Amino acid sequence: MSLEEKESYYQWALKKGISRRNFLKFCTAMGAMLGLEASALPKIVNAMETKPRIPVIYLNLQECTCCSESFIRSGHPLVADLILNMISLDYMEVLQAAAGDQAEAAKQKTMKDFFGKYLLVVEGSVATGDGGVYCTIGGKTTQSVLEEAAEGALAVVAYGSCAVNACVQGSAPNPTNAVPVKEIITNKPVINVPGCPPIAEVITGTIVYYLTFGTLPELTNQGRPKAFYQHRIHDNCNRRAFFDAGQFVESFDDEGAKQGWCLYKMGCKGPTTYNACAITQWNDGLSYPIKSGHPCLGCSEDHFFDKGPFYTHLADVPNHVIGKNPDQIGLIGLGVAGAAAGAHALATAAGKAGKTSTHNSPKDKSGN
Amino acid sequence: MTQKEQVYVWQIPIRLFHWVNAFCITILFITGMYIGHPAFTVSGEAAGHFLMGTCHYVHVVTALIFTANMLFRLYWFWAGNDYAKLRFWRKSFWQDTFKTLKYYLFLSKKSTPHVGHNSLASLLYLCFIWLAGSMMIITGMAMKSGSDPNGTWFALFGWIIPVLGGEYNVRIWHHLLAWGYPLFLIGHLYMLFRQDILDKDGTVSSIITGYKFVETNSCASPDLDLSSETISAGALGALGAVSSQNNSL
Repeated sequence: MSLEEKESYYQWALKKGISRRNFLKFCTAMGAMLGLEASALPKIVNAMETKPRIPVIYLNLQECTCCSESFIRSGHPLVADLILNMISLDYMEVLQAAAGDQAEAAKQKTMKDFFGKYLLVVEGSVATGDGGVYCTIGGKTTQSVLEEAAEGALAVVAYGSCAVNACVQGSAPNPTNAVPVKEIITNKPVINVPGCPPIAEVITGTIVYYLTFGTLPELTNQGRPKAFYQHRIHDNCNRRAFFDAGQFVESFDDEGAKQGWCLYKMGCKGPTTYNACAITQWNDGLSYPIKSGHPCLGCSEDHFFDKGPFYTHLADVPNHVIGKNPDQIGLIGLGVAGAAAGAHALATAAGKAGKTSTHNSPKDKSGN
Repeated sequence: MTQKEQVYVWQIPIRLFHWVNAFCITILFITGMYIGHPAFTVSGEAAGHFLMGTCHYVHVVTALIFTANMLFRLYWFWAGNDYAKLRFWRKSFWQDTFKTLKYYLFLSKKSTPHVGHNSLASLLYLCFIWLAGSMMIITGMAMKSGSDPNGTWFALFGWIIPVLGGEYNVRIWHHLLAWGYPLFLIGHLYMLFRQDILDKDGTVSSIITGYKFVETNSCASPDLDLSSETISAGALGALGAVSSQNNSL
């Protein structure tokens, strides 16, 4: 079956019993989520009605499956259904019924039939240490699995912090030498969708955008879809008013915590984390970590696991090697400089006194 | 007895730069430390307070003044007198750096008279004020501009975020480099008071009056020595002009 023979998203939706009204609602929600203006809506609808469903291969490499868990728990029922079904998921170890040789055969078939036309979604990092023995699938190393699947992909979505920056297993000292997808795949566009886990709607949004405009969505300077990752959590935080007022939680059981004050001093990384948590939120807009009283860990930022300790505002520099934070380093520097200046002053005074005693006459002192 | 000549070293724009810079750094350090460690927590309704917001506002406004002042000084490297220049690409600059370093390490007893900055001092300005200062401006502007990711500021400074590996690292660098200023201040104050006491050349008051006092008989030759090309003609010209004016001293 070629790609052209595949049904469109709208045909598929009708077959599933989704009404036109709900279909249009989905298109509108997607347009809003992508930050497109209202005039883009007819284009989205047209694309969803006419374009065939993009086949998707979803690889699970060196990871904990939290991204998949997020992926299948998208809050909005329609979105959840569409995420699972609209993208024509041809291979995903977590969800597929087939296993072993059958599953591998299905993947090979998709890769052959839709060469250059399928989207590759990768969850997990690539273990490259010791020839890649730390993570193998069907007897193959993660690197060879990824390279094989990426060859015929139109683009690669690095889904989750593992695929974007090797996440926890890539933190110091990185024993399996885990590397992110972008270090292995250099000849294809790689869209980074970081987060531990990331927000599921980003995948749907990216696919809808590609279908509508035929190009990949605009990315930030860190290679992430701009519609979701351009803003800092801090700048849209529902506790921001407490930050600006200067009201901070000092411990998790104090009065400030009960009042819902700012979690900045509890180590919140919201001021430096670019993600849509504060805007789209999780579980159908129910909440997100800061809203529910826990500081942001900055899980969508590179190597967030090394930027600890999590519950202090200022991390150690550089990542557990020195084991001191900038203020400690600064104060030590000041102490050393002060002591050095004092010692130098004493040495100068001693030198001068010595000089005075050896050449005691004022005539000598004046030099000329 | 040694005769001292009054030499006009620091022009008005230099002195202005110095004090605006000192003022800005003080404000920036204090407000910055509060932003990094909000020590006071206010009580009551959030709507009634704007402590962090005010600190942040003052920090950013002062940072813009600081940046403008730095840019002005950059211009004055070109427009100012010979003492306003920093010619670190010249061989004589590095020769003088080592000579001065040896003097400060008590390895040589002979102090080379300098009318303006000695090269070691200039080198420290280059590191602490210019290199670290530029990094402070870039990292600070990047953090400031993140709230408007499609704006001009972000286009100008946002590139530092991926370069340093995320905005958290940008923040850490900003905080770490901030400590360079008090560190510098200790050295700066110690060295200038030491200089003033040992050579009695008016170094401390010169940043207010603009004048230093140089020994007439001894200054000409060593200065010539060191400045075969640099501190040179302009300086000596100024020296000559001033000394003829101030013969009464």
